[in-house]
Amino acid sequence: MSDEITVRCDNVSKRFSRNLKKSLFYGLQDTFAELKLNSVGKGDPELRDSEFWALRNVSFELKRGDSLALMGSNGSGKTTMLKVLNGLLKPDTGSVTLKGRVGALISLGAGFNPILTGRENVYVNGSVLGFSKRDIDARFDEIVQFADIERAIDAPVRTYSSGMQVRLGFSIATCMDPQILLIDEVLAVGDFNFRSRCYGRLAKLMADTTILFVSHSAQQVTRICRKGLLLENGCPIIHDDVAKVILEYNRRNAPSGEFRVLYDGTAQIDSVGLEEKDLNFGGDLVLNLTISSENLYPNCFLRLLIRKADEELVGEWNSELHGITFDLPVGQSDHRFTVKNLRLHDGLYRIAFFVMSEDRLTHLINAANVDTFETSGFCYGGVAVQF
Amino acid sequence: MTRYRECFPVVDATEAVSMGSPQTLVDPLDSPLEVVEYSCDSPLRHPGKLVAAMFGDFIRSRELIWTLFTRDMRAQFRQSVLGYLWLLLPPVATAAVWLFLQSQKILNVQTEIPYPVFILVGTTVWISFVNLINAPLQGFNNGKAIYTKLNVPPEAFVMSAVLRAILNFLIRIGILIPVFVYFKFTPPWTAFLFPVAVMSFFLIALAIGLWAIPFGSLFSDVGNFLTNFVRIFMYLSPVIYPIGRKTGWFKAIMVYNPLTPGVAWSRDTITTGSYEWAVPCLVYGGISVILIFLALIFLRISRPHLVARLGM
Repeated sequence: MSDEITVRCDNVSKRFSRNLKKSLFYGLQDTFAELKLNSVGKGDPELRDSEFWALRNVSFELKRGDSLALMGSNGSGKTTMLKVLNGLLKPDTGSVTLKGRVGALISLGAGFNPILTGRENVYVNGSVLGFSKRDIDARFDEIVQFADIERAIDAPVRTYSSGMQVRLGFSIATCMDPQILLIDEVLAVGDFNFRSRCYGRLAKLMADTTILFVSHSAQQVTRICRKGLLLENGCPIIHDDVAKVILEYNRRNAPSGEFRVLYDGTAQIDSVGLEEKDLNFGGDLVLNLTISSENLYPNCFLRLLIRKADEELVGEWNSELHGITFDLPVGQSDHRFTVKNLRLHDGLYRIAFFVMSEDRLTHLINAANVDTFETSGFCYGGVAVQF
Repeated sequence: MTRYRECFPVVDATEAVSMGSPQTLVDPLDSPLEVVEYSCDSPLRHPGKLVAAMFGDFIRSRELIWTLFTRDMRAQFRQSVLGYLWLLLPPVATAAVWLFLQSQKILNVQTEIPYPVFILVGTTVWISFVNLINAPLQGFNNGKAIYTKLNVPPEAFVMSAVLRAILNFLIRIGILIPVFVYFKFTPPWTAFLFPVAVMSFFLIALAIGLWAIPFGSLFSDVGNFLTNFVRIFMYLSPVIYPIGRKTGWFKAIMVYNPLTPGVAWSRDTITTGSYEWAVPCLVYGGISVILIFLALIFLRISRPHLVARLGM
C-alpha cells in the first residue's frame, strides 16, 4: 500500500498575467478556447503579452506517508502549486492526479460569520470543507475539545481572539482524517501550547497521509517533511531531502545582511573575516580580526554570536568562558579566535560579535553580519546544534 | 468510509476528468481510494461526464447550499430586536403606501381590477424578478473568498442566494393575501396556475443571472448594467400600468418585450383568469431552461479561469 503513488504532478505549468485588464480578457479567451475543444495549453502554450510563468514544468510523485515541503521565496509559485493540486486552478500544461480524500489546511475558518456563534460556525465551516451535518455531529465534541474553546462555543465568533478562531478552524479541518493533506502556512499561528498539539495531530496523520506543506519556516518544514521541493520564479530548482532543500533555499534567499558596525570607544576594525567558510561537522571556526585603537583597553573579551540564515540565534561563544581575555594596545593589533568542535547541522550560518571592555558593560565594537559560513556532513536532525 | 460519500469527489481510477469537482462513478466502499485528475484538456471533450459531474455536484452540495442559506438568514437579523419580522416589514410598507394612495383617490389608472391590486401584484412579481437576476452574481461574488482558496462548488453560493430571493418572494406574496381580503377580491380558479406562471417568468431571470456570472465576476460593468438598466424594462412591461388599448410603437414594444408575458400572465392567473399570455410565457420559460442548462455548463468550464483571475 505504501508503494502506491497518491499524488502525481506531471509537467505542470501555469501562466498568469501581471496586467489586470489583460488578465480578465485572457480569462474570457481561455474559457472560449475550451468551447472550441482546444486544450488551453495544447503542446506548449506561449506566453501572451504581459504574462509570466507562475509555474513551469513542475513534476513530482508522492507515495502514501510521504511529506513534501514546497519552499521558495514570496511569489515563487508555492501557493499556485497548491491551488493546482486542490483543483482550483487548471494547469496550462500537464496534469495532476490525486488518489484519496483531499483535506486542506488553507484559510482556516473559511465561511465563519462573525456574528454567529462558534457552534453555528462549526457547521458552516464543516459544510464548506465538504462534511455533512452527520459527520460534524459525530465529531462536534472532539472538535471543540481540541480547539479548547468549550466555554466560548456559544459566543459570537467576533468575540473570539484571532488565535481562538484559528484553533477552531484547524480543529475542524483536521478532524476528518484526510488521506492527502494540503497545508498552506497555517501553523505559524496560535500559542505555543496549541502549536504543539497541532504537530501532535499532524504526526498522527502522517503515517497514512500524504502531506504537501507550504512554508518559509525551516523549523516547521523539518518537523513535518522529509522531502522538499524548491521553487524559484515557478521553476523547480531542487527536489531532494528537506535539509538540502533548506540549505539551497537559504543560499538563494538569505537576507544579504549588510555588514554593520558600531564603535563605543576609540577602537576600530581594520579587517575581519573567517579563515575557512566551508566547515565540516565538528570542525573549527576561526575568526581573524585586526583592530586599531587610540587608547589602551586591557582585559577585553569577545562574544561571538552565530545565527542561522533566518536570523534565529543558534549560540554564543564567549571568550571569557574559555579563559581568553586580550588587551587592545594603542595602535594596530591582530587577533585570532578559534571556536572548536562546531557541532552544527548542515546549513548556512552568519556571525556577529562584540568586543567587550573589562567593565563588562561597554561594547567597544559591535559588528553585525560579519561573515557567513556553511557546514556539511551532518543532515540527520532538524535542529542547528547537535550534541 | 460511508460517511465520506457525500463529502468528497469520487472518480473512476481509470478515467480522467478535466477540472471542476469530479463525478461519482465508484462507490468508495468498493474501491479503497478515490482518484481525481486535473489536466489541461478541455472538459468538453467528455460532455457526458461533464454534465454528470455537474449534477453530481449539485446533489452533493445540497447540504452546503442549505447551510449557507440559513447562515446568511440567521446572521442578517441576529443583531436586531425585531429579527425575522424584517422579512415582512418592507413589503408591508410598500403595500401600505399603495393603499394610502388609493384611499386618497390619487390613482386613476383604468384597470379591470382594483388598481392597487393590479400594481401590488405587478411590483411584487417584478421586484422578485429583478432580485433573481441579481442574486446569482451577488452570491458568486460573496463566496469568492472561499472558493478561490478551497475546493468548494461556487454554484452552492449562487444557489443559496437564489433561495433567499425565492424566500423573499414567497413572503411578499403572503402579504398580498390581506390586501385581497381588504378589497374583497376573490381570485379566480386559475390561481392554481400562478406558481407555473411565476416559475416560467422567474426562469428568465435565473437564465440572465447565471449567464451574468462568468462575465460579471470578471468585469463589474455587467453588475452595474443589470442594476441600472433592468429597471427600464419595468416601464416596458405591464408592471405599474396596463398595456394601452391604442396601437403605436410603445404598445408594440410592450407586446414584443419578452418580459411582458411573464408579468401579465402571472397577474392574470390570480386576477382576471385570462389565458392571453399563457403560451408565450411558457415558451420563454422553456427557452430559459435550456439557457440555464447551458449557463451552468459554461460556468463550470470557466470556473478555473475565473478563480485564476479573482483569487489570491
